[in-house]
Amino acid sequence: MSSITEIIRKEIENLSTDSTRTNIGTITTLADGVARVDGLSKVMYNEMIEFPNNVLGIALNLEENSVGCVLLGDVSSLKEGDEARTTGKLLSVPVGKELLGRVVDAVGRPMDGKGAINSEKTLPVERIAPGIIPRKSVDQPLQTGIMAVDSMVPIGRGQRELIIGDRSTGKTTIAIDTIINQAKINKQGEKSGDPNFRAVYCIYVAVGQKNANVARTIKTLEESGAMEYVTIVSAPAADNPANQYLAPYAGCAMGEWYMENGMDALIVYDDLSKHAVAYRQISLILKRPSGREAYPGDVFYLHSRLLERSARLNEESGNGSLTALPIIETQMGDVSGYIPTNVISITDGQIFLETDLFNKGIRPAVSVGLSVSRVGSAAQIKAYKKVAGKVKLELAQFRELAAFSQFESDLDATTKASLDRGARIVELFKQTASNPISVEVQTAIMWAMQNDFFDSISVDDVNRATQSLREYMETQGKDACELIYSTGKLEEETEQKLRTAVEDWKRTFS
Amino acid sequence: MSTNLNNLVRQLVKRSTSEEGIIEQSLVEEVLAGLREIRPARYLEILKQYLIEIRKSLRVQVVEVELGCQPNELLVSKLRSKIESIGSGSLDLNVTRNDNLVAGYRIRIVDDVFEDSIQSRLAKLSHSLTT
Repeated sequence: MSSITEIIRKEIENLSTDSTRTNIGTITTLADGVARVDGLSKVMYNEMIEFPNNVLGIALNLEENSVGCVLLGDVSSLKEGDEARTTGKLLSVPVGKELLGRVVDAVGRPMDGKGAINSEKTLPVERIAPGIIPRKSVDQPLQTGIMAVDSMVPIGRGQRELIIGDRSTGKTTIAIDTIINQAKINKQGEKSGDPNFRAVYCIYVAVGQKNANVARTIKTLEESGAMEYVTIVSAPAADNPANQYLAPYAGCAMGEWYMENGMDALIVYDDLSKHAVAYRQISLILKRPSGREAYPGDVFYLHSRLLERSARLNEESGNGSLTALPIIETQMGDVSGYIPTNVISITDGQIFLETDLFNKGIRPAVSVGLSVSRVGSAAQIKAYKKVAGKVKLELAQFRELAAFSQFESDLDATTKASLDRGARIVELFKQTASNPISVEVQTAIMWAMQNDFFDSISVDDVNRATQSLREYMETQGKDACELIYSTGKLEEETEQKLRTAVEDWKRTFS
Repeated sequence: MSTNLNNLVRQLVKRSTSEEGIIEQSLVEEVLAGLREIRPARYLEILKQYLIEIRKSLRVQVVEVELGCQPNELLVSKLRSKIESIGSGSLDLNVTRNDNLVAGYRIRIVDDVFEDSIQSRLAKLSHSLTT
């Protein structure tokens, strides 16, 4: 009892009793989550504005006669003539490890019912991206645990790799699997006690999604034990467009904190198509001039300034990184849409998912021809690079030959061999959701494929054989895998161990 | 809002302002009568913009003073001289009593509000205890 009164007494003692000076204005119009305010002559761009009943807004349009504010709360209590006042603060969100395992809204308020977030650090949601000097080339891998991705479109720490495809093609699954794999690697690294191990912390930003989908994602992450390394920023479809517009920037600020403090982080923006739609909505209500598809003129800048904040910093700047996996939904596989082309040009590559492949049961439905990673191959570990270097070309040749072979009855031996190899690689890459494979096991499987161990297995059995080999390598073949994990190379001794292990497995496989 | 309309409204506000730089009711009435007579194109738009600009100008010359106690002559004259010494020219002081303040004052000059009242201190305390 006495301690409670003591806290209040201290608060009163510390309270400033000086007269305050605030800049105020009056709401003149109020519609669709946007207030036009007369006054506020000293307001800053992006400044937080305080409205009655603890409703906050952000000043987005500074005009000659009025200020356009997007509102971030329950606007039903506001009315024309209400007073709005400046706060002198730019919109900031809590950052730090206290947010791990939590679900927050676009302004960092908890949504998971687990109590307050005890973080004393905050960062503004809008910040300038790191310049040229503190940056460094991508040189460390970020394993997704998905063989088709890690082998053909490898991702490095600090890279921006777009995941693009039609609805229901497995875009979110790739992102979630990547997060699950980071948690798996983090646990393995922490267990090993390696002082040089660098954990990857994850932020998943859900924009304009159904609450049920977000709940399912949380459940998947919890079930796989990944939630302790993840922060979820949610601005669901039912949320106002202002929150949907802000959520990616808020998530980015949370990720930047890790990067600036010498740690590695991964951020998933799911998805930026809906983010652009939310921004279009706000812009139209703010009466900004509209351009192509009614998007405002600065829709490119909307995404470029967000994705440029993901970077790999050099040693002098702390050696941290922020990797971004933005997601874009296409319509009927059209990658030439306005928003898709914008984001493709900003990012360092894309993983394109095809509906046809997905419907054929080839999952993840990664399109070999349209997927590319511009910088990731520099980050692949040597052992994996050695076994996976040719696979993209082989698969691309297979797809081309497979199309022509439909009209050809008599095929030459080389073509037949390419088709056989391709069909096996396709089966090998089939992987179920939430089932990431570690890089050393992936290396072993790829090595077995490149050394013709799968050639005697019928195509229909390749996927089963892959599962079997995976289980074998994780148990009996552990020695070879540990050697790959520790050295990162495929030396003669490692190859010998691999050969023995794979031969042993082949004898048992039926 | 077109530049022509803005220029026209600025001219109208200028005509509504006396030589001392004060918006005067008689001048405003003259302007309105003139507008009614001519009935220019975009009449309604001009009127709306004129209202916004006049409001803005009036805010500059009227200082709203709210007090937690009953205002007295001495206090008001002291306040007037203090405010006029900071600003330029003579200002209209609109002094009212606001019981919500409990004690203290709240002065609004254009968009700026200077406040030291029990109400504002309690709001500050409530904010610091809840965030």
